This record gives sequence, C-alpha cells and structure tokens, in this order.
Amino acid sequence: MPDLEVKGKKLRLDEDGFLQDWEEWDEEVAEALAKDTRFSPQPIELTEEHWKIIKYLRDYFIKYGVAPPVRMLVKQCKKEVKPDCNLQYIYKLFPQGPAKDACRIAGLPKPTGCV
Amino acid sequence: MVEERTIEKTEEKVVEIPKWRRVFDDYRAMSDEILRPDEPKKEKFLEAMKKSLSKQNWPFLLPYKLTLEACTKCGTCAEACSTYIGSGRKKIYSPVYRSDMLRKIYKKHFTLTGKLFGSLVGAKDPTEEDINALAEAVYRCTVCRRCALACPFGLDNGLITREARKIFADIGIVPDELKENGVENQLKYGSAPKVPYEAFMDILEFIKEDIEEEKGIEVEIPVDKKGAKYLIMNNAGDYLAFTETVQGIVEIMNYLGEDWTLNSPRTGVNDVVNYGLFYSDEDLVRVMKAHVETAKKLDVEYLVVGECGHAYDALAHFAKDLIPPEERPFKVISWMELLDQFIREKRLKLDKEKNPEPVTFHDSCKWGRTGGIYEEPRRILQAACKDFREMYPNREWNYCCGGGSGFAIMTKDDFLKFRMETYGKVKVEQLKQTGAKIVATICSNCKGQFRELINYYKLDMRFSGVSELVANALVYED
Repeated sequence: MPDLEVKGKKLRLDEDGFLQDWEEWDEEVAEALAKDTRFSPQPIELTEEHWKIIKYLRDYFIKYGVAPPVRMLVKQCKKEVKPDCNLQYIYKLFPQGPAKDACRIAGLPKPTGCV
Repeated sequence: MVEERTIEKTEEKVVEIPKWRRVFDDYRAMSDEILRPDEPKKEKFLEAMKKSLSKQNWPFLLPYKLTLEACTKCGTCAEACSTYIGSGRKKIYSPVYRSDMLRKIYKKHFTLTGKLFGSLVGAKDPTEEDINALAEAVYRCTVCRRCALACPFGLDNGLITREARKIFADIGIVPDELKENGVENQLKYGSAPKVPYEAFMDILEFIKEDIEEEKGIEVEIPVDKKGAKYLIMNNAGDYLAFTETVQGIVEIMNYLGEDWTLNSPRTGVNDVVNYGLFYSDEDLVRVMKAHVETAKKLDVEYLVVGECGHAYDALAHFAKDLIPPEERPFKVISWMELLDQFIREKRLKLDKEKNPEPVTFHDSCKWGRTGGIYEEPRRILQAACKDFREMYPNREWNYCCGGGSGFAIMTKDDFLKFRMETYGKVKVEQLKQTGAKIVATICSNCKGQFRELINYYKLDMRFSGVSELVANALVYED
C-alpha cells in the first residue's frame, strides 16, 4: 500500500490514495493529498472555495459516518461558495469529482457502493 | 527595517507508484492484493471449474456447456461487442476470444477429445499466466449480452464471463468494490455505502425540505411502515449520488396519495443492489434472501424495485428460480411498470412543457435485453417530456454504457480510462447523434458511467433518472 509523508510522518493510504485512518487528517495532510499526483492527473491548488467544501464534507462525515449526498453538497456550496453552483462547478474545483477528489482530500474513507 | 521572512520550501518528492504488473492488457481491474499474480492458483482454479461443471450449478449448466461446446468461432459476436469495436477492434476484447480462454481449459481438462488430441482440437493446459490473464479478462466484459443476441447459435458469451467470474470468486478473486466493500457491507450495514440510520433519516429530511423549498409542496416520507401496499427499495446510489431520483419518487407517491413506504437500515437491507449477481451464485442468494427477509418483516404487498437494473434481474427473475414461492409472500414489480400504470390510469397530470429540452433514453442492459422493460420508460418519458428522441440502435440492440456488471464503481489503476475509451467511446458517439440535452436512464450503474462520460468527453448534456423528469412535469391543481 502506498504511503504519504507529511511533516516526517508516514501516513498509510489505500490503493486509490484515500487515507486509511481518517483521524490522521489535518490541513497540511489535505494540502499533501491535493498535491499527490499519483492519484490525480494534476496537483490541485486549494483555494478558499475548496476549503469550504472540504470542511463541510468532513463535518458531515464526523457527524453521520458517511459522506453527504452530492445534491446536499451542491446545495451547501450554493449557500456558502457560489449561488449558481452545480455539479460541473464541483468538477471544476475537484476534476475527478466529489468522491475521487473531494472526499479523498477531505480525508474521508473511499465511498463504496453505487455512488 | 526589512522584515525577514523565511519561506519554507518543502521538498516535493514525486514518488511514482509502480504499476501493477500487466497480466492481460494495459489495465488492471483488481489490485495485487486481490489477484495475487505471483501465487500459483492453477490447481485451485481447476478444482473450482470442476464444481462449476457439476450438477451443483444446475441453473446455468446447460447453456454454459452448450456455449463451451458448440461455438464455431464465426466471429459474429465480435461485431456486436462495443468493447471490441470501441477498442479499435482489438482481438483480445472480442467475446469469442475471451470465452476461448476458458474453452481451451475446458477441452484439455474436461473433455475426452481434448485430453487425447490436445491442441489439435483447441485444448490447452493453462499456465499460471493464462489463469492470471483470464481473471482480468473477465473484468473487461460488462456481461451486456449483446453478443448473445447476435450469435447465430444462441450461445451466450456473457454467461461464460459470469461463469468464469464465479470460478474466480470461488478461489477468492473478486474486485473488492463488489465483494468486500459491496455485498459484505450491504449485509452488515444494510447498504453498500454503509449509510447509518441517522444519516439515512437526515437524507430523507433533506429531501423533504428540498421539495418544499423548490416546489412549495409539503410531502410526507413514510419510513418502515408495516403493512404498506408498496415498499419502494432504491439503490443506495439514488440516495447519495443521484438524490433527485428518490426525490422524484417521493413527489410522485405523495401526489398520488398512495399507501407506500421506504425502509431504513433498521429493517435489514435498504439498498436494492445485489452485486452477487455479477460474480457468485452464493452471494447472489445471500443478498436476495436478505431482501426477501426485509420485505417479509415489513409485511408489504409489493416490493417495488427502484431505478436499478440488475436488482430487477435478481428479484424479478432469479428469485423465482431460487426461492420457493411460499418463502416470498409478496409480489415483485419494477418502479417503471408501476409508474407506467399510474400514467396509463391517468392519475398523474403532466405538463410536457415543463421538460422542453430534447431527451433521449438509454436502455440499460439489465432492464432491456435481460428484463424486457422497453416500452414502460418510453411511454413515461413521452408523457412527461416535450421532445423525446430515440437513440440508435435501441431496445435490445442498444449498446451498454460501459458501467455494467459493477464497472461503474471500479476505478483502480487506469480502469476508468478503459471504461471511457472502449465501451464509453461507442456510447458517446451514439449520444451525440441524438442531439439530446438529457440522457435519461433507470440504473445507478449507468448514471455513474454517464456522469464520468459527460465529464471525460466534455459533452454538452446531462444525465437524469426518469422519476425526476416525471416529478418535474407534475401539475398540481389548486
């Protein structure tokens, strides 16, 4: 299994680049995950918009144990980031989409099932 | 005074992960951990294959053996296969090539002529590398079964893929997306994405609020209601990724004032998927029984399969063969049949002007070729949309989207690229020719694949379930 070194600490990832232990996450880990080109074609520069989405995903996961529905995420994004946010906008921020990029950078486990 | 600022520059090491060893083509569907390419497995494989050719495999044995024995290698199936066409006609992706990988082993080990005459009759003793290649090869076919329709002898190469997957599952080789993180999650937590009760209820609350905000309509969402007429069980993906679909169903059932219910993970299984269908009879039955137990517990008259193709195949067809009628005291119906019935009864007032954009319909393999549900979604879409257009070819000759048999949730290594550039390529051409702005489909696998295709090929269109288009066209009387 691949790992990721942040501040001298080795973090274990799964085969798709998701943190094995979501509790090891912090903002520096997120930066490192976003820059990890092993799991994303290009490094993602995290802007304020990205952070709002990442924090929302993380808070929801901690409260409910699962990532929120995409529609819920888009709605939240409309409120906090961009009033005309849609799925395309999420893809613009996270090119591989809400699961493969947004959840991964937010340190959530890889979503399973038909999502 | 100049303020001194130190800019910390972290050393950015680019560590390439060594790609998993190629065993069949340029892709890998399964990790090393699952495939274990360096572990000898021929003996175990042959043992499992022997079992698959025994009476234990009664539901499939006859077409399985016929397909192994009667193929004349005419190649008609190849031209029917969208992986083969999409790949630029690479031989290794043709149905006949894939089946022949298994057929050679069958002849060598399970037929007298093969034992006696070997390669003269197309028999070959497999090497460990042949076994590895076959394990990956059976995950390049979505079991769309278009080839079976084309075969002049009615042989079913899709069935061969599934039988070979079963053999591999028997020796512990199954993509983790389907088994460990699919079936096992579902049986333990109620759904493959492991949605806890509180999260499920929060999603329903969100749906209720969203309908109220967008439409100004107050809806009720019955959950775990015992004795309801209809239990509508959805694919968990329709709660998490394609929520609009469940939202549409909620709105329609409220409009009708029907006696219905959704179910939470507290009642057992509330994800209608059955990934066992893709790779194992044992797991197919385990999940099917969990569905049956859940419906029995809720004492409903109908178990309604939501927008999920393979679930319909499992519950409407396989369950009839594999579970005695007295053990399933409820009827199984698809949401499409039910919705079509409501529309034909003129119980839904729909205004097509509310869906003015051109809409096309993608026949999912499991709903169409396997399930025979062709006209219901068409009648529904024609009633709800102003400009409905066929995609060509369609109905039983439609091309698979490329997400079938679990592919839509498999993305390891470069597998997404495989999905996009073989099956996907053919599908995208078909989509473009319709000029439609919306591709409607009734399967989460297809929706997931379309989401990726639209993003990958930057198509100027969106995908949608059928339910949300109908809900969007509803006319409320004051």
